[in-house]
This record gives sequence, structure tokens and C-alpha cells, in this order.
Amino acid sequence: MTFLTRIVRWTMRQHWTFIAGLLCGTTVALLLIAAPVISLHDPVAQNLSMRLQGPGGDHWLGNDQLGRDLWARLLYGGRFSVVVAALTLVLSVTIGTVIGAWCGRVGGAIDEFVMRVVDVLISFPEIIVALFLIAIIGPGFGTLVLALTLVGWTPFARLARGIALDISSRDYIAAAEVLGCTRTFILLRHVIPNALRPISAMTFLRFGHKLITVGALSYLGLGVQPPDSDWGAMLADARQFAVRQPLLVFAPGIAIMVTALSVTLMGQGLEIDADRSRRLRAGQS
Amino acid sequence: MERFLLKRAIVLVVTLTLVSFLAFLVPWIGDTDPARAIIRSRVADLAMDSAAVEALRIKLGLDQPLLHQFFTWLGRVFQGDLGLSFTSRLPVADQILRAIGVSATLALSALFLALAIALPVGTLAAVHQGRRFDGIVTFIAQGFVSIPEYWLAPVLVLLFAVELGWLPSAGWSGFETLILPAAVLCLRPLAYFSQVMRASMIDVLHANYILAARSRGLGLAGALVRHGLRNGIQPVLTVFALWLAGLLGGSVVVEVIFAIPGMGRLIYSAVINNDMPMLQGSIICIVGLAIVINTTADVLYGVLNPTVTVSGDAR
Amino acid sequence: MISPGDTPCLKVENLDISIGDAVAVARGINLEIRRGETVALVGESGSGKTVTALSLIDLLPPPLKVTRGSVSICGQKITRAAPDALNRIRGNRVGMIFQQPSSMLDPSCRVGRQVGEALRLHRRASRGEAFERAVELLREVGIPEADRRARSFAHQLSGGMAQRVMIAAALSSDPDLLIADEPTTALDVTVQAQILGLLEKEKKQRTLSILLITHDLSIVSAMADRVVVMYAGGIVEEGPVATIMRAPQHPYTKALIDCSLMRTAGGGDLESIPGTIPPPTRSIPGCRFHPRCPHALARRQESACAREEPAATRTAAGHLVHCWAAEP
Repeated sequence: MTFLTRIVRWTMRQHWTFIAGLLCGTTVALLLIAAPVISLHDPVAQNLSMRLQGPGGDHWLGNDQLGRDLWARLLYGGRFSVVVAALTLVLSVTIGTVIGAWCGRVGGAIDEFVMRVVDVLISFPEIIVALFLIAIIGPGFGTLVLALTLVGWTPFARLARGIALDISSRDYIAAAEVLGCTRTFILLRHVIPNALRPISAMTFLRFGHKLITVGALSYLGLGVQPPDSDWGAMLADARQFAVRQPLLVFAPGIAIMVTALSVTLMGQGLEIDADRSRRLRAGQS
Repeated sequence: MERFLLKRAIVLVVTLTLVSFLAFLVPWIGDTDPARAIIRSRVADLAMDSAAVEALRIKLGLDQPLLHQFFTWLGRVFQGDLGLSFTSRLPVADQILRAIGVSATLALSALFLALAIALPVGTLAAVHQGRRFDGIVTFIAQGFVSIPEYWLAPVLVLLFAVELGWLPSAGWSGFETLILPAAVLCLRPLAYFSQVMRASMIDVLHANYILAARSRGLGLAGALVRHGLRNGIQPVLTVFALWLAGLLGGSVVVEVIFAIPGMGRLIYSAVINNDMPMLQGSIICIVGLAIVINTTADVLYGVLNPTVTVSGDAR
Repeated sequence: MISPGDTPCLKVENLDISIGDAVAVARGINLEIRRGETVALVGESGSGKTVTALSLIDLLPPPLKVTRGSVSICGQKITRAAPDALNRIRGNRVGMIFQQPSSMLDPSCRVGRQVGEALRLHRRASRGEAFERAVELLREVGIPEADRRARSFAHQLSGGMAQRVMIAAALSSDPDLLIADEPTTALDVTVQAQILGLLEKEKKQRTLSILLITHDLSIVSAMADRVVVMYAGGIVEEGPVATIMRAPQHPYTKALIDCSLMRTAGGGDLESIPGTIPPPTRSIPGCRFHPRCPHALARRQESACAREEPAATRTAAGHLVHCWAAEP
């Protein structure tokens, strides 16, 4: 209980953008998780008599070009992109942080080499890497995660390396070492708390881009494969019906935007928090 | 300077050789038999004649040992010969060259448009730091980042081409066809540039030399234009280079939607058609270009910022 | 002393400077500099000297602002003046040099252009004329190979060189007043002497008034005609340099002079003023120095020191002391 209240108190102290993003993002996440409960219809059940119907009755958002319930498709369609984006980020953060921190700690030729690799990879568009991998091993969930992680780890490596270098040059780390603290203790007590905020901020700030890239591949027909669908694929399907039923284009587009924006806002809130805590600490020392 | 360029040239050659090797291996990893693929692209699967496949295999040198094939191939790559496309039977290098020209035009238009808006907006946001204008700019920037171009592009086409009929909906035939794709493509870099510009101008605003310039009688605007911009723009330049390198192949979606014959669409159709030489050629070109662009940016950075002596070590 | 019609070069009346609307950083500053006079503004770091200096040309960084009083330079009002009018005065009638000369130069702009900038602004000089004049000025302030140096960048100059460049820039359009904010603090001792010599020379060549802001009393006796001593945002004593150095009346000035004598003598116990300068956020009732004052009067609780701010007492010609213990 105390832990929970502490989290709530911490949240209330954050910038309003963080709270707005948190509320919005949580709502989206809950909707996606609870999709089977909330949606009254099967997302793949076709009903050709209902083609391109507007909202009405128990079809809250109307029906698509094959008469499928748009609301149901929206709820289920979010799952694929969001899961790919989230999983990619978890992998990228883990790999990037470990590699970056290790490079910062070891230095020398290894560090130099890894950073040159990062230099080349970091400007490489994710979508191109994904396209190449799809050409080699074919489309699918695994291909997408692999492709996005392959370049996704680089900014985290750079950030973690910077933090590692910065922290190890700080006086209080030297002081802790002089006082005889063990490496593990220093890592747990000083390094991780310092690194947590900026890294989590970057994680949230990168989410929107991942989500949009996954959608882009699906839009091109190389992401999610039928019979599954996601927001990008829905947009591609809806394109030729845009004039007759604009909602088919607007609903998935807005779904992507709201999801991406809310997570970005959380990221920005965390960044402000990281900035503030860094300034506080700088002021104290 | 010469040492720096030499070092970068070595990095370029080494990286390109490595990437070439990876690109060369692609068909083997993918288990795609080039000979089979070529034949398939010309005739229907049913008519696949194993004797013809074998003949082509020998003609292409595919019966040679792997490493031998690689060096023959690498030699040709460094002479600018990237082979023939499976689908069009035209030289890959020519097609890529043409496509890169198109993509560069598109990318530069979008990026300069973004820059033209982001510099003043970012500067103003910095001047109004923490006030309403700043908050609105940041929020809009985040909104721009969250808009998928495969949503915005069709919507703009619907509005400006279908409904209003002001602009062509797709194609690549002059300035008019450039407007919509450049507009769609510029939003995301615009958001990034303005935020980078804002952050760097906040530093500049607190810089002592601005105070000194004002003590000489320059107004705030004058001091920012004469002494602020040149210093504040430098971080934006780095980001600009990253975006340019990224957009030279990364604007796949926009190029596909607007039917623009650039790198992105070339790679996309190569993936769809399993056109291996085209894929190999484009990956080598994109990596090479990325390195060249980043090196150019570093050199330019040194020109703009005299305190940075361009060298490979310090950065 | 001042004959009517002889407008002082700088006149500051009852100036208050605050952070936002609440905290007063400087209060009741009165200052007057006549044509050709050098006045030293002395005080510890944190006493509000630099803030006062910036307020004179209305360049206080927000949230600092002038809340009361007025500043005028050569008869022209600075406080609440229009931005255009201010821009015409800054760099034209008044020049300013600063503590860290190297960071005061734009790192990506050639030095010559910055020196000639005021000429371009105030004398409508063409780019070429301004640059030529800049080279002359650089030569005048003692920069060797001035025409080559004019084309170099700030990071290629030493601190002393950079300060010479700043002086050349500040004097380029022949101002009446030069505000020098700790001009030698960041420099080596040998370079300090050169810069001071340069200021002295320029002062003689032009009819230049100088407001010299410093914490270093050894500079003061060499350079200044009059001294104004500041403590915690307020003036405590002012007078001719000889009088103040020989017979300081305010306990704070006495302590300050003792400290600096100790330092130059280099021996004995370092006599320091007990306590520290209060932060501007703390307002002190009565005399602002009384918590640290060694004077017996300040010790007594019911004395005026703790209750009321002392007004100026004239102890000799042109010698004003803000102290309850001072006798006229």
C-alpha cells in the first residue's frame, strides 16, 4: 500500500504532459488487452450486407469494405503493432544498455570499434533494414522484431555509454571507491538510479517511431500477414474506400496517432523529470 | 584535415567491403538460387527447365567456390558494376544512380523546407522558453512525430488532389508533383530540427558573447541573427546530415504512395520481386552514401565552428 | 562641486534591483561619475556589483529587474527608455568590458568584425571601413600583428589578448563612459598590470570616465579617483581614494582594507571578517552589516544598528559613510 501511494505521489508531481500521456496510454493499453471482452463482434466475421456502413446500432464505428465491425478490428488491430513495438524496445534497451555501459567501462579499442559500428547503424533507416530482412527470411513477427532491434539498440548504447563515462568520472563515485564500497554496491546505489531516468525517457520517446514503422511495413503488405491485421494494414485496405467511408481511414490513423502521442508525452514528462533531478543533484553537490 | 579525410576514406572502404560481403552472402542465407530466380522472373514456374537453370548457373559463375565468387564480385563492385537486375535486365548501377537523384531531390526539398520553418520557430521557442508559445511548439512537434505518413499522405491526396484538384495525386514530373510528398516528408524532421534548435538556442541565449554583443548596441534580435544563429545552428546541422542519410532510402512509404521512382520504391519493388542484385547494390550504395554524408557534415561543422579542429580522434 | 550645466557622465539615483518583484538584490544605490573621472566600485563577490553594472546599461538577465530609481548616462535616461534609444546608447556613449574576456567573444566570428561592430552600428561604417578601423584599434591596444590577429578567432587568443580585444571593441566608437566589470580578475598577475596600464593610457588619450568594478583594493589605489564600497547590495561608504584608503570610517571598509594589507604583506594571521556575506534572499533589518560588525555599538541589542538603516553621514569633503557610529 505504501509503495502504491508512493507511486501515486510521484506521478502527481510530474509535468501535466506526463499525466495526460499516462492516462491516455493506459486507456489504450487496457482497451487492447480487454479487446475480447469489449468488442461485441468478431473482427474477421464478414457481413457483406453491411459493407461500408456508417456508425449505428451495435456497430459503434460502422463496418469496413467487407462488412467487418470496425471497432472490433481497431481493438484487435492495435495488438500486433503495439506488441512488436514494445517487445523491440525492451530488447533494444537491454542490449543497448548492456553494450553501451560495457563499452564505457572498458574503453579502448573495443569501445572505439563498437562506437564506429553505432555511427554507421544509427543513421540507417529501420524500415530499410526491415525490408532487407524480409527479402532474406520472409515477412513475419520475428522478422520485424529482429529488424527493428538490429538498429534500435544503437541510441541506447550511445546514451548508456555516455552515462557510464559521466558517472565514473564523478567525484562521488571516486569517493565511494575510496570508502571501500564494492563495485556491485556502487552499481546498485549510484549508477543505476542515475541512468534509469534518461534511459526510460528515451525508451518512451522511441516508442511512437517504432509503432509507426511497424504500421508502415504492414501498410506495404510486408508486416502483419493475413488473416491477422493491424492499423497500418487497415489503412492500406481502406484507401480506395476513403471517399465513400472516411471513417475507415480516420479511425486507424487516429488510433496510431493517439497511441504514439500519449507514449511520447510520457517520455517527455520523464525527460523533464530526469532533467530536473539532474539539476537538483548538480545543485546539491 | 587531410589525415581526417584519409581516415574516413579508410573507414569507408573497410565498411563497404564488409557490407559488400554481407550483401554478397544474402542470396545464400535466403536460400534463393539466383539462376532459378532469373528464370522464374522470365517464365512461369511450370516451365522451369533444369537444364536451362544449370546453363545459366555456369554462365553466372555460380559453380565456382564461394570465396572466389566473392572476390570476382567485389572487384566488379569497386568498378561500379553491380550486375543486372533480375527483373528489368538493366544494369543495377544505372537504375540506382537515377533513383538516388530522385530521392535526393525529394529529401533535400523536404529537409530544407523543414529547416526553413524550424530555425525561426526553434529560436522563438527558445526566446519564449517556458512560456505558452514554447509549450505549444513542443506539443505540435510531438504531434508531428506521431503522425504516420501513410495516413497523412492519402488524406492530403484526398484533400488537395481529389477534392480540390490543385495538385497532382502522384507521379514525378516537375515541381507540382514534389509539393505533397515533400510536405508529408518534412513534418518529422521539422519536429526534430525545431527541438534541437530550441535547445541549442537556449544555450546560446545565455552565452556571454550575446551579452557582450548587446552591450555594443545590438538589439536582442540583431545579436541573435549576427552571433546566435551561426553558433546555434551547428547541432542542427549534425541532425540534418543524419536525416539526409536516412531519407535517401528511408522514404519508402512516401515514394510508394506517390509513385516516385526513388531509392525507397526501388528497394521496395526489389523486395517484392526478390531482385537480389538490386538489393545488394542498393544496400552498398546506401551505406556508402551515409558515410560520405556524415563525413561532409563533419567537415562543414569544422568550417562553421572554428574551435573544432577536424580530426578523427576528437569528437 | 558640480557646476550647473556640467552633466555627470553617469548618474544613478536610488536604484533598487530585485529578483522578480520580491527579493531585493541591491537597494538605494546612488552613484555619480563626472567627466574624466575613474570611480571604483568595491565589494566582496556576492555584494551586487556585477548586477549593478548590468543595470546601468539595462541588460539585467531576467528575472532580475530594476524596481525603483533611475540611471542616466550623459544626461540621457536609461531606465524605462525605449529599446531603440537604449541600443543607440549602448556601445556608443558607453562601452563595457567583462570578467571572462574569452567567453565574451563570439567563438565563430572573426575578432576584427566584433571590434568593428559598434562602428557599423553607430557610425554607419561600411564593412571594409569598420574592419580597417578595427585593425587600427587592435594595434592601439597593443596587439602585435594586428592585421593578422583581426582575422583570428576567440579560441586562438590568450585571456589577456581577449581582454585587449574587448577593450578595443568597447572603445571603438569613442564612448564617454567605460564600465569595466572585474576586468583583470581572470587574468595572470603580469597581464593584469598590462591591462590596467592600457586602461590608464586610453583614459588619458580620450576624455574617458571609467567605472571600475573590482574586489581587489590594490587595483583601486592605483587606478581610481574615488571609491564606492558596496556590501550586500547597498553602498556603505564612498569618498576620494586617498581618504578612504588612509582613514576608512565604515567598519566593513576597515576590515576589507585590513584583509588586503594582510594579503600583500603575506605574513601573520590572516585577519578575516567573521561570518559570511548574507545571500540576497535574506533581508536584514537595520544596518546590513551589523551581524558581522566588530563595532561595540552593534553588539548592543537595543542599538539603532539592528533597527534602522543608517543614512549617509558626511565625515569630510565628498566622504559619505553609512554607519551609526560615524561622526560628522
